[in-house]
Amino acid sequence: MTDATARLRAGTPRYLLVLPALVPLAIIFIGSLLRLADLGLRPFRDGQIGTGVTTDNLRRFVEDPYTWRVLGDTVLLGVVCAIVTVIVAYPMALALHRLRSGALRALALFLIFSPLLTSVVVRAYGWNVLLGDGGVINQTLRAIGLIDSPLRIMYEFPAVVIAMVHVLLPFAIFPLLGVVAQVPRSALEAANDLGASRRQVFWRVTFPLTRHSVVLTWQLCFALTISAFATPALLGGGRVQVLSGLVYTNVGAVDWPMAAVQSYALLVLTLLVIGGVNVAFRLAGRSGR
Amino acid sequence: MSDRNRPLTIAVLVIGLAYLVAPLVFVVVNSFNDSGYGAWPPPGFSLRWYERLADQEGFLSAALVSLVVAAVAALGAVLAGTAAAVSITRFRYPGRRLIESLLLAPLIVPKVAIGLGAFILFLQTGFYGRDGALVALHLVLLLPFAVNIIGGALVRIPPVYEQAARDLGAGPVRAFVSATLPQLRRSLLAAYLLCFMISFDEVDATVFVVAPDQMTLPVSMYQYLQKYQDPTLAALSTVLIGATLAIVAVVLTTAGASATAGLQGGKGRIK
Repeated sequence: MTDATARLRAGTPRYLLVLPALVPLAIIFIGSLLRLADLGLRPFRDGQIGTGVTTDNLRRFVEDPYTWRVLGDTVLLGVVCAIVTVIVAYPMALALHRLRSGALRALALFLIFSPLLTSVVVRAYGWNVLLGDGGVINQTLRAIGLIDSPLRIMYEFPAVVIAMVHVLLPFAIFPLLGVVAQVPRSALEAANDLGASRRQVFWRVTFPLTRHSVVLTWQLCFALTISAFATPALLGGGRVQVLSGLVYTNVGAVDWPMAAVQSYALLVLTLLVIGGVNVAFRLAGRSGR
Repeated sequence: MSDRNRPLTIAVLVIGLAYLVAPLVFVVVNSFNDSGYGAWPPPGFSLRWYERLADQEGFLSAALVSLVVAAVAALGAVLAGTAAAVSITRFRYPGRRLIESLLLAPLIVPKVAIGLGAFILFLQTGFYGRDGALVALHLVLLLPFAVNIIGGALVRIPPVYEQAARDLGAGPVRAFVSATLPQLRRSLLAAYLLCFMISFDEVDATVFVVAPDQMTLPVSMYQYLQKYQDPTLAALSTVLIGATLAIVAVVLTTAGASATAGLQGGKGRIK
């Protein structure tokens, strides 16, 4: 703690400053999660939500094989999208960092930011135009004679991954760009002077120094993917089902208690995977020394 | 040493950027496509989807709702977020770490969980359908971003200037406003614009909470796209892209650097 900070704290209402953010958060965020927990424990019979406490919904959730399949697909989609995003974002961040022209850098930054300026719904429409059976990609491939019948991309797993990675990329590139820029030049020069090849410099210096942020970025992308609803719904077209889609369907079908249980399953899933990756990362770091 | 890598660097960037821009480009092109189902290549070009768009009154009122919600929620998030960021970066007190985690928690809790929970909460408290309901929900979703960006900036502003102001007799508020706030200006603008954009585009949680008479733009677009696939939505998007280009210009010229820095500043805190 610096001397100035120490003096600033004297007589200042420190807790009060956090209240304008904390009060709405406590009422709405925590309040919502508590209501949701309560709802998940209510009985649901003949299309009616009753009173009292029951574990029926939990049992219905666990015993439904369809739910487990959707749960598996949700995790798979999250893992795949997060891996692909990191693999695409890392080289882009590195390339962006190496750009020396300020104007080119600004242009590249603008283009990376540009998807954030349109709705995810609009981007889903754009992918529909590109990936559909009669869309740009299929028509182009057919025109140059590479295929006879259209490739089925739309309303399948690949379409959801393509669109989802597109949504995630800006969120991954920006933090990685900051980390890549923080790798000290002196370390790279030292490795170079000692005769390391480009590949060795990357794998022995740059990557180990940025590895922690790669894991954090992966976790953020995973959490964002399995929580997303509109993109999988619009590009999966009902053929690719994720848990958030089931929640929405059940809300429409008035089975709110089941929707609540599924929402909590999603939350537990996020915490389990993020926590699991943290533990694995720590163990790997220990055995690697 | 980066010279040997130049072609590879350029190739990676060009391919990546093309991927990022492609759907937007084809949305704009397709808004002039004469075909109703977006046939490719376009059989002809017309402005009929723009005429159809002009007849859709739902989108205009939804756009107004979205604008108001985004403007108010972003303002609330930046004001409350600034106060909270000052509290957790400038002071040390028991429970500070817990409060920080709580402020960032909405980032990893699935949006459908927040949305459905808020819907039930609002329904039970008679808040559902009120003007403030959407603003309150968005405020909570935006707070982590505001706290991250502004907190990231505050860490880099040394408290000595503020202390100097205090030593010269300024009160705590005056010292903050005159010494720290001017250095925070760009980050505040960046935080506001980012929050505005996130709110303006929010579907995943909002879809649960909107009442039929307070439809937001992305939710009404979502529902339109589920029913029709015609280029009316492309025309609407082109109009929106045109309108937002002005905002981008502001972001990149005045606040782009601190927006980037703010996002980076938060990288170590998402746990």
